[in-house]
Amino acid sequence: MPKVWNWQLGREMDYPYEASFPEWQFAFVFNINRCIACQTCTMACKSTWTFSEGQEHMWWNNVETKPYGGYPQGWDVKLLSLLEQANPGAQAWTAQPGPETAPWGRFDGRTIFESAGHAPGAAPGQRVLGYLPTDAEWSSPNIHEEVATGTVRGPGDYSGSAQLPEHQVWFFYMQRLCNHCTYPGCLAACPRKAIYKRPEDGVVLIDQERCRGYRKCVEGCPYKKAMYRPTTRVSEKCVACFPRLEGGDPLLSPHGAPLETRCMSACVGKIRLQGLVHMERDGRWTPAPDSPLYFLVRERRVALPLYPQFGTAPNGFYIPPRWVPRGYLAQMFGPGVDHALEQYGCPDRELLAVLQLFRAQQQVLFRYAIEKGPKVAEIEVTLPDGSRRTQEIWNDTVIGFNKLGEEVVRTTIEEPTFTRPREHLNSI
Amino acid sequence: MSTHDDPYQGRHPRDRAIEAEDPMLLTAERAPGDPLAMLDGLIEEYAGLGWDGPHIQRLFDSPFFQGTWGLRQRLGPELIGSRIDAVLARRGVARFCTEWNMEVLRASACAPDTCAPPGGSHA
Repeated sequence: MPKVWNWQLGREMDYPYEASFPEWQFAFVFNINRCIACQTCTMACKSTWTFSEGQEHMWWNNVETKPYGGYPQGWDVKLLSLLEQANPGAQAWTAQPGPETAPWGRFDGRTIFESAGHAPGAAPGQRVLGYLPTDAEWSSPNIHEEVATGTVRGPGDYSGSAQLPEHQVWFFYMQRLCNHCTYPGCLAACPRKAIYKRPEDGVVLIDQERCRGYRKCVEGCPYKKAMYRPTTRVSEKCVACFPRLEGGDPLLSPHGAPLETRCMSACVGKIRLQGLVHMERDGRWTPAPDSPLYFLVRERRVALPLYPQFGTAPNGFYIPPRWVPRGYLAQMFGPGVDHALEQYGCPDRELLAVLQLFRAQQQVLFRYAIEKGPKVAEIEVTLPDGSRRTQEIWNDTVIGFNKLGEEVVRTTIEEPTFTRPREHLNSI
Repeated sequence: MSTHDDPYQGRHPRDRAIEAEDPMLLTAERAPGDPLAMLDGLIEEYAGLGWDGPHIQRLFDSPFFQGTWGLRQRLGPELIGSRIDAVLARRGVARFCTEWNMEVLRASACAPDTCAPPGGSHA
Protein backbone atom coordinates (compact mmCIF):
# COMPACT_ATOMS: atom_id res chain seq x y z
CA MET A 1 0.00 0.00 0.00
CA PRO A 2 1.37 3.48 -0.84
CA LYS A 3 2.74 5.69 1.92
CA VAL A 4 1.48 9.24 2.34
CA TRP A 5 2.48 11.96 4.78
CA ASN A 6 -0.18 12.89 7.32
CA TRP A 7 0.85 16.14 9.04
CA GLN A 8 -1.84 15.73 11.66
CA LEU A 9 -0.27 12.45 12.77
CA GLY A 10 3.30 13.61 12.33
CA ARG A 11 4.24 10.57 10.27
CA GLU A 12 3.76 8.62 7.09
CA MET A 13 0.79 6.29 6.93
CA ASP A 14 -0.67 3.68 4.62
CA TYR A 15 -3.34 4.82 2.17
CA PRO A 16 -4.78 2.87 -0.77
CA TYR A 17 -3.83 5.56 -3.30
CA GLU A 18 -0.81 7.73 -4.00
CA ALA A 19 -1.00 11.20 -2.48
CA SER A 20 -2.57 13.83 -4.72
CA PHE A 21 -3.46 17.32 -3.59
CA PRO A 22 -5.79 20.03 -4.88
CA GLU A 23 -4.66 23.57 -5.63
CA TRP A 24 -7.04 24.96 -3.03
CA GLN A 25 -8.60 23.05 -0.16
CA PHE A 26 -12.02 23.71 1.32
CA ALA A 27 -11.54 24.08 5.09
CA PHE A 28 -13.31 25.56 8.07
CA VAL A 29 -12.88 26.49 11.72
CA PHE A 30 -15.71 26.11 14.23
CA ASN A 31 -15.62 27.72 17.65
CA ILE A 32 -17.44 25.19 19.81
CA ASN A 33 -17.47 27.55 22.78
CA ARG A 34 -20.15 29.72 21.23
CA CYS A 35 -22.60 27.15 19.90
CA ILE A 36 -26.02 26.92 21.56
CA ALA A 37 -27.40 24.26 19.20
CA CYS A 38 -29.99 26.49 17.58
CA GLN A 39 -29.74 24.15 14.56
CA THR A 40 -30.06 27.00 12.07
CA CYS A 41 -27.11 25.55 10.15
CA THR A 42 -28.78 22.15 10.14
CA MET A 43 -31.98 23.51 8.69
CA ALA A 44 -30.19 25.74 6.18
CA CYS A 45 -28.49 22.65 4.78
CA LYS A 46 -31.59 20.49 4.98
CA SER A 47 -33.77 22.98 3.17
CA THR A 48 -31.17 23.42 0.44
CA TRP A 49 -29.99 19.92 -0.32
CA THR A 50 -31.83 17.07 1.42
CA PHE A 51 -35.53 17.85 1.35
CA SER A 52 -36.57 15.20 -1.16
CA GLU A 53 -37.96 11.72 -0.99
CA GLY A 54 -35.44 9.22 0.26
CA GLN A 55 -33.42 11.91 2.01
CA GLU A 56 -35.56 12.11 5.12
CA HIS A 57 -32.85 10.63 7.33
CA MET A 58 -30.04 12.70 5.78
CA TRP A 59 -28.54 15.55 7.75
CA TRP A 60 -25.38 16.54 5.89
CA ASN A 61 -24.89 19.15 8.57
CA ASN A 62 -25.92 18.26 12.09
CA VAL A 63 -25.25 19.51 15.60
CA GLU A 64 -25.07 16.84 18.26
CA THR A 65 -24.59 16.94 22.00
CA LYS A 66 -21.43 15.49 23.44
CA PRO A 67 -20.55 13.33 25.24
CA TYR A 68 -23.79 11.37 24.83
CA GLY A 69 -25.29 12.41 21.53
CA GLY A 70 -24.40 11.26 18.08
CA TYR A 71 -25.71 11.03 14.55
CA PRO A 72 -25.74 8.24 13.64
CA GLN A 73 -26.10 6.97 17.15
CA GLY A 74 -22.74 6.34 18.81
CA TRP A 75 -20.73 6.80 15.60
CA ASP A 76 -17.50 7.89 17.26
CA VAL A 77 -17.63 5.57 20.23
CA LYS A 78 -18.18 2.62 17.93
CA LEU A 79 -15.24 3.43 15.69
CA LEU A 80 -12.94 4.18 18.62
CA SER A 81 -13.93 0.82 20.00
CA LEU A 82 -13.14 -0.93 16.70
CA LEU A 83 -9.74 0.77 16.56
CA GLU A 84 -9.03 -0.33 20.11
CA GLN A 85 -9.98 -3.91 19.25
CA ALA A 86 -7.67 -3.84 16.23
CA ASN A 87 -4.74 -2.41 18.17
CA PRO A 88 -5.37 -3.00 21.89
CA GLY A 89 -3.80 -0.52 24.27
CA ALA A 90 -1.60 1.09 21.63
CA GLN A 91 -3.70 3.95 20.25
CA ALA A 92 -1.45 6.60 21.77
CA TRP A 93 0.50 9.73 20.91
CA THR A 94 4.07 10.77 21.52
CA ALA A 95 2.98 14.33 22.07
CA GLN A 96 5.44 17.14 21.68
CA PRO A 97 5.16 20.43 19.81
CA GLY A 98 6.97 20.09 16.53
CA PRO A 99 7.50 21.73 13.16
CA GLU A 100 4.81 22.42 10.60
CA THR A 101 5.02 18.85 9.32
CA ALA A 102 4.29 17.40 12.77
CA PRO A 103 2.83 20.18 14.92
CA TRP A 104 1.48 17.99 17.72
CA GLY A 105 4.04 15.19 17.77
CA ARG A 106 3.53 11.68 16.48
CA PHE A 107 0.59 9.30 16.60
CA ASP A 108 1.95 5.85 17.39
CA GLY A 109 -1.31 3.94 16.98
CA ARG A 110 -3.01 2.71 13.84
CA THR A 111 -5.35 4.65 11.56
CA ILE A 112 -8.54 3.29 10.00
CA PHE A 113 -6.48 2.39 6.91
CA GLU A 114 -3.76 0.62 8.86
CA SER A 115 -6.31 -1.20 11.03
CA ALA A 116 -8.33 -2.54 8.09
CA GLY A 117 -8.71 -6.27 8.37
CA HIS A 118 -7.29 -6.36 11.90
CA ALA A 119 -10.48 -5.98 13.90
CA PRO A 120 -12.37 -9.15 14.90
CA GLY A 121 -14.94 -10.04 12.26
CA ALA A 122 -13.44 -7.82 9.56
CA ALA A 123 -14.51 -8.68 6.03
CA PRO A 124 -11.83 -10.10 3.71
CA GLY A 125 -10.27 -7.43 1.53
CA GLN A 126 -11.41 -4.62 3.77
CA ARG A 127 -9.58 -1.39 2.82
CA VAL A 128 -10.84 0.82 5.60
CA LEU A 129 -11.84 -0.07 9.14
CA GLY A 130 -15.45 0.92 9.65
CA TYR A 131 -18.98 -0.23 10.20
CA LEU A 132 -22.37 0.20 8.59
CA PRO A 133 -24.86 1.91 10.92
CA THR A 134 -28.31 0.38 11.16
CA ASP A 135 -31.42 2.16 9.93
CA ALA A 136 -32.41 2.77 13.54
CA GLU A 137 -29.12 4.50 14.24
CA TRP A 138 -29.71 6.94 11.40
CA SER A 139 -33.32 7.60 12.22
CA SER A 140 -32.99 9.76 15.31
CA PRO A 141 -30.51 12.59 14.77
CA ASN A 142 -31.22 14.06 18.20
CA ILE A 143 -31.44 10.89 20.20
CA HIS A 144 -29.93 11.25 23.67
CA GLU A 145 -29.78 14.97 23.28
CA GLU A 146 -31.76 17.13 25.62
CA VAL A 147 -34.89 18.57 24.10
CA ALA A 148 -37.43 20.58 25.99
CA THR A 149 -40.38 18.23 25.73
CA GLY A 150 -42.21 18.80 28.99
CA THR A 151 -45.41 20.64 29.66
CA VAL A 152 -45.48 24.39 29.27
CA ARG A 153 -47.90 25.36 32.03
CA GLY A 154 -48.58 28.90 30.98
CA PRO A 155 -47.13 31.93 29.28
CA GLY A 156 -43.49 32.14 30.26
CA ASP A 157 -43.76 29.24 32.70
CA TYR A 158 -41.49 26.48 31.46
CA SER A 159 -40.96 24.83 34.82
CA GLY A 160 -42.34 21.51 33.63
CA SER A 161 -39.87 21.22 30.77
CA ALA A 162 -37.64 18.23 30.49
CA GLN A 163 -33.94 17.65 30.53
CA LEU A 164 -31.98 14.45 30.51
CA PRO A 165 -30.14 13.80 33.78
CA GLU A 166 -27.09 12.60 31.91
CA HIS A 167 -26.32 16.15 30.84
CA GLN A 168 -26.31 17.64 34.29
CA VAL A 169 -22.56 17.86 34.69
CA TRP A 170 -21.15 19.19 31.45
CA PHE A 171 -21.73 18.90 27.78
CA PHE A 172 -21.11 20.77 24.60
CA TYR A 173 -22.44 20.94 21.10
CA MET A 174 -20.53 19.41 18.22
CA GLN A 175 -21.21 20.80 14.77
CA ARG A 176 -20.49 18.32 12.03
CA LEU A 177 -20.43 18.11 8.28
CA CYS A 178 -18.19 16.36 5.77
CA ASN A 179 -14.57 17.26 6.51
CA HIS A 180 -13.59 16.96 2.83
CA CYS A 181 -10.60 15.03 4.10
CA THR A 182 -7.20 15.08 2.46
CA TYR A 183 -7.20 11.26 2.60
CA PRO A 184 -10.93 10.47 2.54
CA GLY A 185 -12.08 7.18 4.03
CA CYS A 186 -15.10 7.14 1.71
CA LEU A 187 -12.90 7.53 -1.36
CA ALA A 188 -10.53 4.81 -0.21
CA ALA A 189 -13.38 2.40 0.47
CA CYS A 190 -15.26 2.84 -2.80
CA PRO A 191 -14.72 -0.25 -5.00
CA ARG A 192 -15.83 1.62 -8.15
CA LYS A 193 -13.73 4.75 -7.80
CA ALA A 194 -16.94 6.74 -7.87
CA ILE A 195 -15.67 9.22 -5.28
CA TYR A 196 -13.17 11.92 -6.13
CA LYS A 197 -11.59 15.09 -4.77
CA ARG A 198 -11.97 18.09 -7.02
CA PRO A 199 -8.53 19.42 -7.99
CA GLU A 200 -9.67 23.05 -7.79
CA ASP A 201 -11.00 23.11 -4.23
CA GLY A 202 -10.55 19.69 -2.62
CA VAL A 203 -14.28 19.10 -2.29
CA VAL A 204 -15.06 15.38 -2.08
CA LEU A 205 -17.93 14.34 -4.35
CA ILE A 206 -19.70 11.14 -5.31
CA ASP A 207 -20.18 10.58 -9.04
CA GLN A 208 -23.85 9.66 -9.10
CA GLU A 209 -23.45 7.90 -12.46
CA ARG A 210 -20.67 5.61 -11.29
CA CYS A 211 -22.08 4.89 -7.82
CA ARG A 212 -23.95 1.61 -7.52
CA GLY A 213 -24.95 1.97 -3.91
CA TYR A 214 -22.67 -0.65 -2.37
CA ARG A 215 -22.48 1.58 0.72
CA LYS A 216 -18.76 0.99 1.18
CA CYS A 217 -18.38 4.75 1.56
CA VAL A 218 -20.97 4.77 4.32
CA GLU A 219 -18.98 2.06 6.04
CA GLY A 220 -15.60 3.65 5.38
CA CYS A 221 -16.25 7.27 6.31
CA PRO A 222 -15.21 7.45 9.96
CA TYR A 223 -17.37 10.55 10.49
CA LYS A 224 -20.39 8.86 8.91
CA LYS A 225 -21.04 11.69 6.49
CA ALA A 226 -21.66 9.57 3.41
CA MET A 227 -25.28 8.44 3.33
CA TYR A 228 -27.30 5.99 1.30
CA ARG A 229 -30.48 7.10 -0.45
CA PRO A 230 -32.88 4.19 -0.85
CA THR A 231 -35.05 5.84 -3.50
CA THR A 232 -32.19 6.31 -5.97
CA ARG A 233 -30.09 3.43 -4.61
CA VAL A 234 -26.92 5.45 -4.62
CA SER A 235 -25.01 7.28 -1.90
CA GLU A 236 -24.93 11.02 -1.35
CA LYS A 237 -22.94 13.41 0.79
CA CYS A 238 -22.22 17.06 1.52
CA VAL A 239 -21.16 18.88 -1.65
CA ALA A 240 -19.72 21.91 0.21
CA CYS A 241 -22.34 24.05 -1.57
CA PHE A 242 -19.96 24.06 -4.53
CA PRO A 243 -22.02 26.44 -6.67
CA ARG A 244 -21.51 29.06 -3.95
CA LEU A 245 -17.88 28.09 -3.52
CA GLU A 246 -17.31 28.58 -7.23
CA GLY A 247 -18.67 32.11 -7.01
CA GLY A 248 -21.42 31.13 -9.38
CA ASP A 249 -24.29 32.76 -7.51
CA PRO A 250 -25.35 35.63 -9.80
CA LEU A 251 -27.21 37.44 -7.04
CA LEU A 252 -24.82 37.25 -4.13
CA SER A 253 -21.56 37.08 -6.01
CA PRO A 254 -21.85 38.83 -9.36
CA HIS A 255 -18.08 39.19 -9.71
CA GLY A 256 -17.38 35.54 -8.99
CA ALA A 257 -15.96 35.77 -5.47
CA PRO A 258 -16.41 32.48 -3.56
CA LEU A 259 -19.23 32.45 -1.03
CA GLU A 260 -19.44 30.54 2.22
CA THR A 261 -21.68 27.48 2.30
CA ARG A 262 -25.29 27.68 3.43
CA CYS A 263 -24.56 26.20 6.85
CA MET A 264 -21.71 28.65 7.45
CA SER A 265 -23.56 31.74 6.32
CA ALA A 266 -26.64 30.88 8.38
CA CYS A 267 -24.77 30.57 11.69
CA VAL A 268 -26.47 32.73 14.29
CA GLY A 269 -23.89 32.27 17.00
CA LYS A 270 -21.03 33.38 14.76
CA ILE A 271 -19.08 30.23 15.47
CA ARG A 272 -18.06 29.47 11.88
CA LEU A 273 -15.29 30.66 9.62
CA GLN A 274 -14.86 29.02 6.24
CA GLY A 275 -12.00 29.36 3.85
CA LEU A 276 -10.00 27.94 1.00
CA VAL A 277 -6.38 27.25 1.84
CA HIS A 278 -3.78 27.11 -0.89
CA MET A 279 -1.78 23.89 -1.08
CA GLU A 280 1.66 23.10 -2.43
CA ARG A 281 2.20 20.13 -4.73
CA ASP A 282 3.53 18.12 -1.79
CA GLY A 283 0.42 18.73 0.31
CA ARG A 284 1.80 21.43 2.59
CA TRP A 285 -0.36 24.46 3.19
CA THR A 286 1.25 27.39 1.43
CA PRO A 287 2.45 29.69 4.21
CA ALA A 288 0.00 32.58 4.36
CA PRO A 289 0.14 34.27 7.75
CA ASP A 290 -2.49 36.80 6.64
CA SER A 291 -5.03 34.06 5.81
CA PRO A 292 -7.48 33.72 8.72
CA LEU A 293 -7.53 29.93 8.47
CA TYR A 294 -3.78 29.57 8.18
CA PHE A 295 -3.35 31.85 11.15
CA LEU A 296 -5.79 29.94 13.36
CA VAL A 297 -4.87 26.40 12.35
CA ARG A 298 -1.21 26.41 11.40
CA GLU A 299 0.34 29.48 13.00
CA ARG A 300 -1.47 29.72 16.34
CA ARG A 301 -2.75 26.14 16.43
CA VAL A 302 -5.85 27.28 18.25
CA ALA A 303 -8.15 25.13 16.10
CA LEU A 304 -7.73 21.35 15.98
CA PRO A 305 -8.87 18.50 13.71
CA LEU A 306 -11.66 16.18 14.84
CA TYR A 307 -10.33 12.73 15.74
CA PRO A 308 -7.04 13.10 13.88
CA GLN A 309 -6.15 9.54 14.89
CA PHE A 310 -8.62 8.23 12.31
CA GLY A 311 -5.98 9.22 9.75
CA THR A 312 -8.07 10.91 7.08
CA ALA A 313 -6.52 14.37 7.68
CA PRO A 314 -9.88 16.13 7.99
CA ASN A 315 -10.09 19.77 6.90
CA GLY A 316 -12.55 20.81 9.57
CA PHE A 317 -10.94 22.32 12.66
CA TYR A 318 -12.44 23.11 16.04
CA ILE A 319 -11.63 25.51 18.84
CA PRO A 320 -12.27 23.16 21.78
CA PRO A 321 -14.76 24.02 24.53
CA ARG A 322 -13.10 25.45 27.60
CA TRP A 323 -15.11 23.67 30.28
CA VAL A 324 -14.73 20.05 29.20
CA PRO A 325 -12.35 17.61 30.95
CA ARG A 326 -9.02 17.53 29.17
CA GLY A 327 -8.86 13.77 28.79
CA TYR A 328 -12.07 13.78 26.79
CA LEU A 329 -10.88 16.64 24.61
CA ALA A 330 -7.49 15.02 24.03
CA GLN A 331 -9.17 11.89 22.75
CA MET A 332 -11.36 13.95 20.44
CA PHE A 333 -8.89 16.56 19.19
CA GLY A 334 -5.46 15.10 19.86
CA PRO A 335 -2.60 16.39 21.96
CA GLY A 336 -2.86 20.03 20.89
CA VAL A 337 -5.74 20.77 23.25
CA ASP A 338 -3.78 22.38 26.10
CA HIS A 339 -1.98 24.75 23.78
CA ALA A 340 -5.18 25.68 21.93
CA LEU A 341 -7.10 26.42 25.10
CA GLU A 342 -4.30 28.47 26.58
CA GLN A 343 -4.27 30.61 23.44
CA TYR A 344 -8.02 30.95 23.26
CA GLY A 345 -8.57 31.58 26.97
CA CYS A 346 -6.58 34.81 26.87
CA PRO A 347 -6.23 35.88 23.23
CA ASP A 348 -3.60 38.44 22.33
CA ARG A 349 -4.50 41.40 20.14
CA GLU A 350 -4.01 39.66 16.79
CA LEU A 351 -5.94 36.55 17.76
CA LEU A 352 -8.73 38.67 19.23
CA ALA A 353 -8.92 40.62 15.98
CA VAL A 354 -9.05 37.51 13.79
CA LEU A 355 -11.77 36.00 15.98
CA GLN A 356 -13.99 38.93 14.96
CA LEU A 357 -13.98 37.67 11.37
CA PHE A 358 -16.20 34.70 12.21
CA ARG A 359 -19.39 35.13 10.26
CA ALA A 360 -18.61 38.71 9.41
CA GLN A 361 -19.43 38.24 5.74
CA GLN A 362 -20.97 35.77 3.32
CA GLN A 363 -17.99 35.98 1.00
CA VAL A 364 -15.08 33.69 1.81
CA LEU A 365 -12.28 35.70 3.39
CA PHE A 366 -8.88 34.95 1.90
CA ARG A 367 -6.83 37.61 3.66
CA TYR A 368 -7.00 39.91 6.61
CA ALA A 369 -5.14 43.01 7.71
CA ILE A 370 -5.09 44.81 11.04
CA GLU A 371 -5.00 48.57 11.54
CA LYS A 372 -3.59 49.02 15.00
CA GLY A 373 -5.07 51.39 17.56
CA PRO A 374 -4.34 52.32 21.17
CA LYS A 375 -4.93 50.07 24.15
CA VAL A 376 -8.39 50.76 25.55
CA ALA A 377 -8.83 48.30 28.40
CA GLU A 378 -7.44 45.51 30.49
CA ILE A 379 -9.85 42.83 31.62
CA GLU A 380 -9.47 39.84 33.87
CA VAL A 381 -10.18 36.47 32.24
CA THR A 382 -10.38 32.98 33.69
CA LEU A 383 -8.27 30.32 32.05
CA PRO A 384 -9.59 26.75 31.81
CA ASP A 385 -7.43 25.68 34.74
CA GLY A 386 -9.16 28.28 36.91
CA SER A 387 -6.27 30.72 36.99
CA ARG A 388 -6.81 34.36 36.16
CA ARG A 389 -4.93 36.39 33.58
CA THR A 390 -5.12 39.95 32.33
CA GLN A 391 -6.20 40.38 28.73
CA GLU A 392 -5.39 43.58 26.91
CA ILE A 393 -8.03 45.09 24.62
CA TRP A 394 -6.76 47.23 21.75
CA ASN A 395 -8.75 49.58 19.56
CA ASP A 396 -7.70 47.58 16.50
CA THR A 397 -9.57 47.25 13.22
CA VAL A 398 -9.51 43.94 11.38
CA ILE A 399 -10.23 44.07 7.66
CA GLY A 400 -11.33 41.08 5.60
CA PHE A 401 -10.66 40.67 1.87
CA ASN A 402 -12.31 38.32 -0.62
CA LYS A 403 -10.55 36.25 -3.29
CA LEU A 404 -10.54 39.19 -5.69
CA GLY A 405 -8.62 41.26 -3.16
CA GLU A 406 -11.61 43.48 -2.45
CA GLU A 407 -12.20 44.67 1.08
CA VAL A 408 -15.58 43.31 2.13
CA VAL A 409 -15.74 43.92 5.86
CA ARG A 410 -13.96 45.75 8.67
CA THR A 411 -14.60 45.39 12.37
CA THR A 412 -13.22 47.70 15.02
CA ILE A 413 -12.77 46.53 18.58
CA GLU A 414 -13.82 49.21 21.02
CA GLU A 415 -13.57 49.81 24.73
CA PRO A 416 -15.76 47.30 26.61
CA THR A 417 -18.80 48.51 28.53
CA PHE A 418 -18.96 48.07 32.28
CA THR A 419 -22.33 48.36 33.98
CA ARG A 420 -22.50 49.57 37.54
CA PRO A 421 -23.57 46.66 39.82
CA ARG A 422 -27.16 46.69 41.05
CA GLU A 423 -26.22 47.52 44.62
CA HIS A 424 -24.39 50.66 43.50
CA LEU A 425 -27.00 52.07 41.14
CA ASN A 426 -27.87 55.75 41.80
CA SER A 427 -25.30 56.00 44.54
CA ILE A 428 -24.88 59.75 44.14
CA MET B 1 -56.27 4.77 26.03
CA SER B 2 -57.20 5.94 29.48
CA THR B 3 -54.64 6.27 32.24
CA HIS B 4 -56.33 3.25 33.79
CA ASP B 5 -55.07 1.11 30.89
CA ASP B 6 -51.73 2.86 30.63
CA PRO B 7 -49.02 0.83 32.38
CA TYR B 8 -46.89 3.96 32.50
CA GLN B 9 -49.65 5.94 34.21
CA GLY B 10 -48.96 8.92 31.99
CA ARG B 11 -45.39 9.27 33.17
CA HIS B 12 -42.93 10.99 30.91
CA PRO B 13 -40.50 8.55 29.23
CA ARG B 14 -37.59 10.06 31.11
CA ASP B 15 -39.16 9.01 34.40
CA ARG B 16 -39.81 5.42 33.45
CA ALA B 17 -37.64 2.52 34.54
CA ILE B 18 -34.65 1.53 32.40
CA GLU B 19 -35.26 -1.54 30.25
CA ALA B 20 -31.97 -3.24 29.54
CA GLU B 21 -33.17 -4.95 26.35
CA ASP B 22 -34.03 -1.63 24.67
CA PRO B 23 -31.18 -1.04 22.17
CA MET B 24 -32.01 2.64 21.77
CA LEU B 25 -31.77 3.43 25.46
CA LEU B 26 -28.84 5.51 26.56
CA THR B 27 -26.45 3.65 28.79
CA ALA B 28 -23.61 5.88 29.84
CA GLU B 29 -21.57 6.90 32.81
CA ARG B 30 -21.39 10.39 34.08
CA ALA B 31 -18.08 12.02 33.36
CA PRO B 32 -16.62 14.35 35.95
CA GLY B 33 -16.79 18.01 35.14
CA ASP B 34 -17.56 21.44 36.50
CA PRO B 35 -20.92 22.98 35.52
CA LEU B 36 -19.85 26.34 36.95
CA ALA B 37 -16.94 26.40 34.51
CA MET B 38 -19.43 25.74 31.73
CA LEU B 39 -21.67 28.51 33.01
CA ASP B 40 -18.86 31.04 33.26
CA GLY B 41 -17.53 29.99 29.88
CA LEU B 42 -20.87 30.59 28.15
CA ILE B 43 -21.36 33.95 29.87
CA GLU B 44 -17.86 35.06 28.87
CA GLU B 45 -18.43 33.95 25.29
CA TYR B 46 -21.59 35.96 24.87
CA ALA B 47 -20.20 38.97 26.71
CA GLY B 48 -17.34 38.71 24.24
CA LEU B 49 -19.86 38.83 21.41
CA GLY B 50 -21.26 42.09 22.77
CA TRP B 51 -24.29 40.76 24.65
CA ASP B 52 -25.17 42.64 27.84
CA GLY B 53 -26.57 41.15 31.05
CA PRO B 54 -30.29 41.16 30.16
CA HIS B 55 -29.59 39.61 26.77
CA ILE B 56 -27.45 36.87 28.28
CA GLN B 57 -30.08 36.29 30.96
CA ARG B 58 -32.64 35.59 28.25
CA LEU B 59 -30.57 32.67 27.01
CA PHE B 60 -31.05 31.03 30.39
CA ASP B 61 -34.75 31.84 30.67
CA SER B 62 -35.95 29.93 27.64
CA PRO B 63 -36.08 26.12 27.45
CA PHE B 64 -35.52 26.35 23.74
CA PHE B 65 -31.85 27.18 24.34
CA GLN B 66 -31.16 23.75 25.67
CA GLY B 67 -27.71 24.16 27.15
CA THR B 68 -28.32 27.34 29.05
CA TRP B 69 -31.76 26.19 30.18
CA GLY B 70 -30.23 23.00 31.51
CA LEU B 71 -27.75 24.99 33.57
CA ARG B 72 -30.58 27.07 35.00
CA GLN B 73 -32.53 23.95 35.90
CA ARG B 74 -29.54 22.54 37.69
CA LEU B 75 -28.08 25.60 39.35
CA GLY B 76 -31.14 27.80 39.90
CA PRO B 77 -31.98 31.22 38.47
CA GLU B 78 -30.47 33.17 41.39
CA LEU B 79 -27.04 31.67 40.90
CA ILE B 80 -27.25 32.26 37.15
CA GLY B 81 -28.04 35.93 37.71
CA SER B 82 -25.27 36.43 40.22
CA ARG B 83 -22.71 34.73 37.97
CA ILE B 84 -23.72 36.92 35.04
CA ASP B 85 -23.23 39.99 37.20
CA ALA B 86 -19.88 38.74 38.49
CA VAL B 87 -18.50 37.88 35.07
CA LEU B 88 -19.64 41.15 33.51
CA ALA B 89 -18.22 43.15 36.40
CA ARG B 90 -14.88 41.47 35.83
CA ARG B 91 -14.59 41.57 32.05
CA GLY B 92 -17.31 43.97 30.85
CA VAL B 93 -19.26 43.65 27.63
CA ALA B 94 -17.24 43.75 24.44
CA ARG B 95 -18.09 46.36 21.85
CA PHE B 96 -17.43 46.28 18.13
CA CYS B 97 -18.26 48.39 15.16
CA THR B 98 -18.60 46.51 11.89
CA GLU B 99 -18.72 48.16 8.48
CA TRP B 100 -19.40 46.41 5.22
CA ASN B 101 -17.97 47.54 1.93
CA MET B 102 -21.14 48.73 0.28
CA GLU B 103 -19.56 49.09 -3.13
CA VAL B 104 -18.98 45.35 -3.21
CA LEU B 105 -22.31 44.55 -1.60
CA ARG B 106 -24.31 46.91 -3.82
CA ALA B 107 -23.05 45.02 -6.81
CA SER B 108 -24.79 42.01 -5.38
CA ALA B 109 -28.32 41.43 -4.14
CA CYS B 110 -27.14 42.05 -0.61
CA ALA B 111 -27.22 45.82 -0.81
CA PRO B 112 -28.50 47.30 2.43
CA ASP B 113 -31.70 48.57 0.85
CA THR B 114 -32.66 45.05 -0.17
CA CYS B 115 -31.51 43.08 2.85
CA ALA B 116 -29.61 43.60 6.06
CA PRO B 117 -25.86 43.04 5.97
CA PRO B 118 -25.03 39.52 7.09
CA GLY B 119 -24.85 39.13 10.82
CA GLY B 120 -26.57 42.43 11.63
CA SER B 121 -24.96 45.36 13.37
CA HIS B 122 -22.86 45.19 16.51
CA ALA B 123 -22.47 48.89 16.95
